[in-house]
Amino acid sequence: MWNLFVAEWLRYRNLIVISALAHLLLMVALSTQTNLTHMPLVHFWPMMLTVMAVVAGALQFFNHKRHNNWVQLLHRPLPPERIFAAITLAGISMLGVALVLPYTLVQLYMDFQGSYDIELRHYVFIAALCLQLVAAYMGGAFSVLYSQRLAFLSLFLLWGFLGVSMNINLLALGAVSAAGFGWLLHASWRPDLSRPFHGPLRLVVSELMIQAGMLAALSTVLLLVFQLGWSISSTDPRRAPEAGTANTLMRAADARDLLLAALEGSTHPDSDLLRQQIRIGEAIVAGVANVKSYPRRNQRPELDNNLELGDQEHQVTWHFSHSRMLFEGRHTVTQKVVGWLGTAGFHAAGSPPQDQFTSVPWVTSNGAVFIIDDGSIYRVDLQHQVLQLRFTLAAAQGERFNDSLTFKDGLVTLLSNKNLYLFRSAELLDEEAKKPLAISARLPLPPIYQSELSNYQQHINVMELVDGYLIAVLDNQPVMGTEGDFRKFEDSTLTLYRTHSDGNNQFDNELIHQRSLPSSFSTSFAYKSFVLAPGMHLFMDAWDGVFDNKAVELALPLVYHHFPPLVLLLAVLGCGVSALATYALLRRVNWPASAKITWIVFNACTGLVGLMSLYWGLLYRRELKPGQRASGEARP
Amino acid sequence: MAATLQLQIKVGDPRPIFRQIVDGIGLAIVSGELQPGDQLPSVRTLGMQLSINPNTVARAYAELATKGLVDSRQGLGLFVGQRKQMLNRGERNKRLQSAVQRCVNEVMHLHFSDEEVLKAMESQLAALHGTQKKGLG
Amino acid sequence: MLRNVIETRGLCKSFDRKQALHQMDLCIPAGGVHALIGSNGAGKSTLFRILLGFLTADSGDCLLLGQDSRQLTPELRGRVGYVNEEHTLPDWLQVQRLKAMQQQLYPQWNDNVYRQVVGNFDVDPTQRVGSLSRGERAGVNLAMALAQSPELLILDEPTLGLDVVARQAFLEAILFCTQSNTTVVYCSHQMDEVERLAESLIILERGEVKVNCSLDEFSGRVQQWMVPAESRELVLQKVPQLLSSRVIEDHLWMYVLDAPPAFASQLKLLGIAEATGASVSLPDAVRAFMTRHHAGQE
Repeated sequence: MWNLFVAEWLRYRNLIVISALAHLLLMVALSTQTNLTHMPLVHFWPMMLTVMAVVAGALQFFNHKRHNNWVQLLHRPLPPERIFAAITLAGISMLGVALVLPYTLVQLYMDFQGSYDIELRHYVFIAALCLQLVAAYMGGAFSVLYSQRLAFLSLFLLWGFLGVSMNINLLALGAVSAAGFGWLLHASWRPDLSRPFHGPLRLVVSELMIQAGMLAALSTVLLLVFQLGWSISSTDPRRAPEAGTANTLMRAADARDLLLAALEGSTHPDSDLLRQQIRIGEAIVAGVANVKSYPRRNQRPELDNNLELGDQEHQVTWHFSHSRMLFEGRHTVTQKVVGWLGTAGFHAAGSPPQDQFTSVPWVTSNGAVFIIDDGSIYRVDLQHQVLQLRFTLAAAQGERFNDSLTFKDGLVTLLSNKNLYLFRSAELLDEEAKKPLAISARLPLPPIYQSELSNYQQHINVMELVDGYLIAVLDNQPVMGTEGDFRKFEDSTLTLYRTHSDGNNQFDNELIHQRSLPSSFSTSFAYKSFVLAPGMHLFMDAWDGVFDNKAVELALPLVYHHFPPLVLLLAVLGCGVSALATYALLRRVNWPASAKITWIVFNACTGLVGLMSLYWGLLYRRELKPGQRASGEARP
Repeated sequence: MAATLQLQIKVGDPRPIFRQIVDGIGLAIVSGELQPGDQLPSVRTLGMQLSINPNTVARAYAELATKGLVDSRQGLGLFVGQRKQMLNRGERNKRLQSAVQRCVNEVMHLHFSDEEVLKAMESQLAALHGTQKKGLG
Repeated sequence: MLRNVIETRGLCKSFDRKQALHQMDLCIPAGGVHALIGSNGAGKSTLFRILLGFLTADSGDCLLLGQDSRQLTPELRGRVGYVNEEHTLPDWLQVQRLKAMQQQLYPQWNDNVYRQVVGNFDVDPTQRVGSLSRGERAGVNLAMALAQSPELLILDEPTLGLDVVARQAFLEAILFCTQSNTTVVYCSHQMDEVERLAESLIILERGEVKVNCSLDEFSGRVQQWMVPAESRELVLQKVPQLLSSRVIEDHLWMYVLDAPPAFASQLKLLGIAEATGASVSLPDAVRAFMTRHHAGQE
C-alpha cells in the first residue's frame, strides 16, 4: 500500500511541486498588496480550488480507469480496499500540498508577523476548505469511475458550498459530502467497472445526487428556452409585464399611483377620504427593501462585507474582529494596532476593552457613518472619535435589524426580521441630538421575512398623514432563479396600512385594504421543474424547509394543495409514465429483481427526470441496452 | 560428455517438431554421426539449442526410446543404443515402399534414365556404408 | 494438486448487439504451455477479462485456479500473472524501483529468474520505464511476471510489435525461465511461436471453443488434397469435411478436416478418381481451419 502511495506521488510530483510553488508565489504576491484573508478575490478562491480538485480527481482516476491500467492496478495480491486507500490518500495529500498548503503558509506567516488580525475562524476555514476539496476530489473521481454516464451531474451539489455562510456549517457540510462522495467512490471501486449499482441504498443515494444535478441543469436549460421565447416574441414578463401584475406596478407606478392602486376596490368606509388625501398629499417612495442575510459571528472570512471603517484623516482602518467582538484600529501604513472601538466608544491602544458588541455589526454610511448591530443604531464621528448610541430596540424575542438602512425624502426605513421601522432622517442625522431616536411608525411584516429567503422584495411607499402614515407595501414574489420558483408561487400582494402612533411607542396599525396581484409569469414557467420532478422537489423543499430554514412551509405533499389542479395532474401523470416506461425498459435487462424494483419505485417518485437518468445514463448505447442480455449477477 | 548434435528445425514443415527431432536423430545414428554409447544432449539443452519447448524434446526422446534407438540410464541420461531392429518385416517393408515412392516422385521429372537413378542410389548407399565403416574403425 | 487451471462452463457474454462469448466450455489442465488462438474479435480479451474478474459474465461459471472469477481473493491474484500486449507498466517509475515494489508484493518472488530474464534484454535499471524500447519493456514485464512464480501465467499477444531479436529472447525466457509448476496460456497470432512453445492448442472462434487438443493431434487432423478442378462443385456439395479450397490452374487444392483413412476411395465413389493427399504444416492447418470458421458462417 505504501509503495502504491509513493508510486502515485512520483507520478505527479513535478506537476504538484510546480503548482504548489506557483500558488505560493501568487499568494505571497497578493499578500503584499492586500489583506489576503479578506480580499474580494478570495470570495471566488475556494470555488476555483474546488473546480481544480474536481479536475484532479477526475484526471487521476481516468488515468487508472483505462482498461489495461485498471487491470494492472487491481490485479495484484492486495485487497482492493488498500489499493483504493493508497490511491485516494495520495490524491488527497497531493491536493493538500498544491492547493491548501501555500495559503496556509502565508496565513501562518501573517499571523506570526501580527500585521493582520488572524482569528481562529481563519484556521477553521482552512479546515473546512480541506474537507470541501476532499469532497470535490471524491466527486470528480466518482463521476469518472462510476458506470452511470451522467454521474458527473452529481457535481452540481458542490454548488451547495457557496450557499453556506458559517464556518461550522461549512465544516459539517464538507464532512458530510466528503463522506458521501467517498462512500459512493468506494462502492464504485471494483474490478468490473461496467456494472451499475444494484444495492437499493447505493442506487438511491447516487441517483438522488445525479438527478438533483440533472434537475438543476434541466431547469437552467428550460429557463434559457423561456428567455429565448420571450426575447423573440418580446413578451418578457419582466420587461413588458401584463397590465395589472405586480411587475407593471413596480415598473410604472410612482408612489402616488401605487397608493391609489392599493386602494382600488376597497370597501373601507374611509376609502374615499383616503383617496382624496392621496391626490393632494405628498407621497414618498420609501424604497425597495431586499431581505439580506445577517453577518454572523465566525462566518466564512471571505464573506466579510461592510466590516471596515476607513478613517483617512487619522490614517486608521477600523476592522471588526470576530474573536474580540470589537473594532480594531490599525494604522494604514505601519499596520500597528492604534486603538479599539467598542459599544462604549473609542479606546486607546492597549489591552482590549470589555465593551464588546453582542453581535457582529455592519457599517453603513449616508453622509454620516452608522454602525448597526442586532438591535442598536450607533452614529460614528470619526473626526472627534465619538460613538453615539441613537436607537435600541426594545428587548423583543429574536428581533434583529437587517442591513437595510435607507434614506429617502426625509424618511429613513429600516427593516428588522419582524417589523418595518420608519424614522425621520433629520432626527437620525442630528449631531446635537440628546434624546434617543423616536420611531415614527412600526409595521409588522409578514412571516416570510423571518426566514432568510433571498430575492424577496418589498416596495414601500409612504404618505404622511396628520396623525400617522399611510403605508403601501408591495410584496413581490421571487422573480427568477432556478431553485426558488417552485416554493411558493403565489400572487404578489399589495397592502395598504394606516398607522397611528399614540406618542408612546405604541402603534395602531389598521389594514385598510389588501389586493392580490396576478403573477406576470405563466403557469408553465412557474411549475416547469415541479412537473418534471415532483419527488426531487419534495426532497429539496424538505431540505430547504427543515435544514436550511429557507422555505416558508415545510414540504409535505399537502402543502402543494394550492398548486393549480392541472399542474398536480401533470405531475402525477409524469410520475406514472416514468414508472411504466422504467418497467418496460428494464423488463429484458438482466438485473436482480431488487434493483429493478428500486428503479421503478424510485422513478415513480422522481418523475420524468428519473426516467431520463435511467435512459441516458445507463441504457442508451451501453451494454445495458434493453432487449439485450446485460451484465448482471444472475446465474443460470 | 554429451555429444553435439547438428539439428535444424523447420517451422512450417508438415512434420511436427517432435517428428523432425526423431527423424534427425535417427538419421544421425544411421549415418554414424552418433555412435552407440554416445550421450544425447539433455532435454533442456536441446530445447535451448533449438528454441523449442523442452517437453517436445522429451516426447521425441520417448519416441526414440520406444523405437529402441536410445537407452535410458537411470540418473545419467540417454545414450545411443546398439543398433537393433525393432520393427517387424511388414512394417519395414511398408516404410521402404513409402520412401522409395517419395524418391521416385521427386526424380521422375528430372529426365534421368532408370540406370542413372539406380546408380546414384547405389553410390549413396555405398557412401553410407563407407562412413559407417570409418566410424566403426 | 489442481487439475484444471481454467475451467468455464456455459459462459455467455454479450455487448450491445454482439455476442462475445457463446456457451463457452473451456478446460485448461495444469502444466505446460497452452496456445490460445483465434481471429480478432473471437472473444479472447473478453474471456481474459471475465477470468480475471474485470467483467461479469451474463451466465455460466468461470473458475480460475478453482476459484470463482467473480470473487477472486488477493492471495489468488498473486498466483496468477497477466501480461497484456501493451505491456502496461507505470511509465514514470525507474525499473529498479518498480522491481523493488513488485518484489515486496509477491511472497514467492524469485530474483534469479528476474535477473536471468532481464539480463537477456540489456535493461539499465536506473532508466525510467517510459523510456524503454518496446522490446525492453516487454522483457521487464515478462521478467516480473515470471519472477512472481505464478501458478498460471496468461500472456495476451505479448510479442506484438517486437523485433526478431527481442522476440527470440522473449520466447526463450518463457521456455527456460518458467518454473515447473507454472502453466502458461499463450495467446498469439504468430504460428511459428506457437509451434515452438506450445504443447496444446485451443482455437476460439465466435465465442466458442472449436479446438482443444495437442498440437500434433491437430495438425494430423488436417490434410491437403488435390483433385481435378472440374470436380469443384461436387466437392463443395458433397464433402462435409472441407475446410477451404482454391483452384490453381486445373487443380483444386483443398484442406480437409478429419479425413477418414479411406478418403481417397470415398472421393472415388463420388466420381473423383484422381486424388492425392498429403499432410500439412501446423500454420497451414490453423489457417485453413480459421478460414472456415471465420468466413464460413458469414
